Amino acid sequence: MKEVIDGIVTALTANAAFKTAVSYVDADDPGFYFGRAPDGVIANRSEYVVIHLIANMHGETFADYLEDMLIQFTMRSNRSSTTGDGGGVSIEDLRIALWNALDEVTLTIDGYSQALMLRQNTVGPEWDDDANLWFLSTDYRIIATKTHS
Amino acid sequence: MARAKRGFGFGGRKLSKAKTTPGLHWYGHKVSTAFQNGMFVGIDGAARYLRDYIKRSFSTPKTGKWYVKPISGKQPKPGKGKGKRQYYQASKAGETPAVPTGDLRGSIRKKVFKGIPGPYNITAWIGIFGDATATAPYGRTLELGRGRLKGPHPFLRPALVINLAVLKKIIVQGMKGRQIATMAGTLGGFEESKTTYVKVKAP
Repeated sequence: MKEVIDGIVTALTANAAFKTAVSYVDADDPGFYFGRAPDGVIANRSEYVVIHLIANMHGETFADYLEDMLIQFTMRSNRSSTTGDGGGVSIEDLRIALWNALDEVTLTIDGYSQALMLRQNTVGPEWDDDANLWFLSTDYRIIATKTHS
Repeated sequence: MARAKRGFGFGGRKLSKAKTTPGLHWYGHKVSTAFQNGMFVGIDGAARYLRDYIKRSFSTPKTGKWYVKPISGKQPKPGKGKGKRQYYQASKAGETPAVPTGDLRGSIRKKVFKGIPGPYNITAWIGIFGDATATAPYGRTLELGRGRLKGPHPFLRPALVINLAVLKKIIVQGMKGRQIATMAGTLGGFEESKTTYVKVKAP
């Protein structure tokens, strides 16, 4: 599982448009985080993405190990669209950048023969009163195949 | 008698025609109905299984903080006889929600729709909808991880991913079970004894 998450991070880091959308600074402050956004990020950033593992299924055939994963990408921004309410990256910009970066992309992971990203449900964008930010979540299903060594 | 000589049998049937033209019955609509019914039974069974699985999944151990269990009415003072405070362990992000009251778990239901126009003729809903949204309005927030939560506490999506293979099997079994009874009657028309071949003796 860790290799698959690393593969996603590599794919996102390699995409210049996505890095611009999340205001990538460096590896310590990339604008996208796994599990939870570090403390202080919410205060300092107006847009960020958090990656959550929702479910992970293991399987095995005669030839391969299979991993069937569902991963949620939670996007947050203080703007709903590119027009109006000041400058910065909107939640729609984030969505487009993420979809372009990951839709039906085959991840390159050592030891895995195949790891395809398939987009599933999307919820939002909607205003989140408690967080005081726009909220949008997209699920991706990843079916990763690892050949028996 | 005169009519019979002209080739007509009793009731005005054309005996001479029936002799040479084999009858063909089209049971397509009945087969389609039987297929739809079987599919409905299968999907309904799968929806019931998934609903029950989701409800059971709430009882998995949690690793979050401990809180006082909310109860209806006023919370009693600690250490006072029957009214001792009860505690529950909250869930962390990634775990199914804890069950302090049971409202969320009790609100999970299933509904299967039939005859919806579009690509999915039979559709099943499993989750919190209808009147139940008033009982547990926070279900969506927990599932998606909105608001002040540090991440989603998913209880619907993992159940679907984990049980995908089982659900497919249930649907297939439901269809088979239904079809054995219904299809037999439907396809009975194709049995030789029920075909419309009529043997007529030559006059």
